[in-house]
Amino acid sequence: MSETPPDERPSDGREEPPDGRPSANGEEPVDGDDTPPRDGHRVLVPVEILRGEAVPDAVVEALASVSVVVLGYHEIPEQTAPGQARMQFEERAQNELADVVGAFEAAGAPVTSRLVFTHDPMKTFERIAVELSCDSILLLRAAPTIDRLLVPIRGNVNVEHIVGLVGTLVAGTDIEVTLLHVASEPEAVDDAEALLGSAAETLAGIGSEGERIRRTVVVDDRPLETIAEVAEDHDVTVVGESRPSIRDRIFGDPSELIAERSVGPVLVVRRPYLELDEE
Amino acid sequence: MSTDPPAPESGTVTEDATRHEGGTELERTIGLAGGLSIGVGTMIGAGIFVFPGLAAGNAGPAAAASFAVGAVVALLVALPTSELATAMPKSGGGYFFISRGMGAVYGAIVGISLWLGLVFASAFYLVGFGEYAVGALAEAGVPVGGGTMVVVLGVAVGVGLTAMSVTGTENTAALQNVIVALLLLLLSAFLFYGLLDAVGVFGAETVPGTFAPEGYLPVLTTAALVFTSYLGFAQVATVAGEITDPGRNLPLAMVGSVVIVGIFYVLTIFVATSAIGSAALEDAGETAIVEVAREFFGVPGAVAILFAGLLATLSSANASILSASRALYAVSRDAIVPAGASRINLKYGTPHVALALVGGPVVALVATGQTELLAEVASFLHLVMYGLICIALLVIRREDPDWYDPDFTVPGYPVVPAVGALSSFALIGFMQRSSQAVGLVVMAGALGWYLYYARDVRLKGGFGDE
Repeated sequence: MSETPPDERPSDGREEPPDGRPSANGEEPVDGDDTPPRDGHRVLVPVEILRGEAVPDAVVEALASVSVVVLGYHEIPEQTAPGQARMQFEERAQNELADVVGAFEAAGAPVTSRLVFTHDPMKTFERIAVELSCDSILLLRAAPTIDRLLVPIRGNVNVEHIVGLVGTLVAGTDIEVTLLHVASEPEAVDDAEALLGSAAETLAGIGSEGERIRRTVVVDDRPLETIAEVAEDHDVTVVGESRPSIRDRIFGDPSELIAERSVGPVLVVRRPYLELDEE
Repeated sequence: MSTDPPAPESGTVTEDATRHEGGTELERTIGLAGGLSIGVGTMIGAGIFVFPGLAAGNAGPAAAASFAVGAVVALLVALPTSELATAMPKSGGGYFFISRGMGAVYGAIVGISLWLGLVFASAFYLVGFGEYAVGALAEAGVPVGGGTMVVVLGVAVGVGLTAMSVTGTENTAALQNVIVALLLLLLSAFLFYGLLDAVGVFGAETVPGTFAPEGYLPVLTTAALVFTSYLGFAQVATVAGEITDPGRNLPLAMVGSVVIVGIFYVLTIFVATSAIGSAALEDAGETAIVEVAREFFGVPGAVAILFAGLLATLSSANASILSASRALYAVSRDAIVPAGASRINLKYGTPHVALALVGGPVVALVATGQTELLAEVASFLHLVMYGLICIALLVIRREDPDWYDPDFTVPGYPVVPAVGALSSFALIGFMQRSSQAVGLVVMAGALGWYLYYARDVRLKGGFGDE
């Protein structure tokens, strides 16, 4: 798929990224379908094509600073051979996908796209995410505006990659970030403050002014319920994958609750990348 | 992969998807367990739950040998089919291989016969379901008599299954896997007890009686009758385009499912004839295995096997209806029948026309209630395809085109495919005249259709020229 060179990037009032921040655009390989972004982030955006799912403008804008893989997928029941659906719907699906890709390109993001007919969307997400080295996957929901991002942080591990991605996304925008930790007991609050403090520092280090970062520590023994409640006041939630796969994450996993209750999009940071950071 | 990939479903095959030019991908979602479940699930309903009574009535305890003969023939075909499927992991199975190896005439006859063969098979399973449903009602104290009620229930379920296939979008594959696993567990326990009983652990050793009371010819005619129990492995090939890691999983699923059900069948007949004798089995008819369970475990055993029989015949019927719809898709893709036949609707994403073209004839055939005729015609049409699959392998190997690069190669080439072809055709010779006549009429109809509608279609070696 084509990519818009940086100099053609339409001016959208964003500041230029400050020094030290990995350039999301400049270092993209020219025809970079399968090559992973060198040090930027790459977000997989599955779009249920042919069923009228649209990518909200606010999402397109928010992702303008990272590499994006648009995965147009059409789920077919097992009574139907995937080739059968392809024979009939391919052209229409390709057209719809081209529209979505066009929107991302207009916003300036380097875009790759895939169209898949599948019986099992979760398997497809996982496969494409691995093939195209996406470090996160955005589960679309309606998003009229994106002003506030919620980043629940569980523990010391994984923080760096998640925060790095968040920093890249919000740099040069007015998006506010809430770092949230749910402590199970009051004694853990100090540690949590320290944890969020260092996360906020990292975030500020890659271009987010301090006043846009809020830190919240809540003491509650039902962390997921709490996260879901706080998420209601935010537009997008960023969560780290806690099980080996996105499939588990969505169907058999604590974050099911977050994804289900969230009215806004959920950005899931994939586990292999998180583990990489742990080392 | 080949540089000159097969048309029209060309594209690069990977373990998890088929990638077409233009960037469109088709996800592969059926693993080895799913493939085995399709094969075993399609087959086990017939061999264990419908045939034992009929087979033992015809051949006595030697019916076990009939099932063994069937298993050998099925294996001789499953091996060549595996090789072709790994070289062409596309939807359509036997039709695809034969049309590409031998040309459109053979392809059209086989493709249309496969659709109708599966229609006959589905009808056969549904009649079996009706027998079990009536048996279950009788067990529950609602004796409804035989004949008519069997047909009525079979027809009702046939209509229901077709309607569900058109409108249902929930994932039933997982359910199918569970059902097959449950059936295998239940049957293993049943057979284990039965074998111990037969060798005398629970008292006197039971003898199955004279092995072949009617002589050895009935062994072969019975093998021809019960061959319907071995049709499922070809259904694995019809979804070859959706199997993950096809080079490994296709051969394992096809050969594996034949071996699994073959062992279960032979043991079941041995246990059944040992337990209550051939005459009693014959009297019990299609639900004979229930009487065997009753002999071992009393009413709970009978109820368990009735329940298992309902599940097994239902899953076999469902799998066959879906396969038949795939078979129609394969021939319509190649313009042998109008493309409208495999159109799918956006609302449910299902091929409603093809499903109706399967469900309608199925229901009509169930209404005849002719278990043996339905089974033999289904076998007839499949055996013709099996023989031609073996021949297609011989033809393709001899021509050795560039694109032909199977991951699995048949052992014992060329003996295995040659014997496979001969034994498939030979088995047809042992069927009843009426079944042979109906089978020939269907094939003649298919040929007539080809001459009328699809005479211009060229498919042989048509990997590049669509």
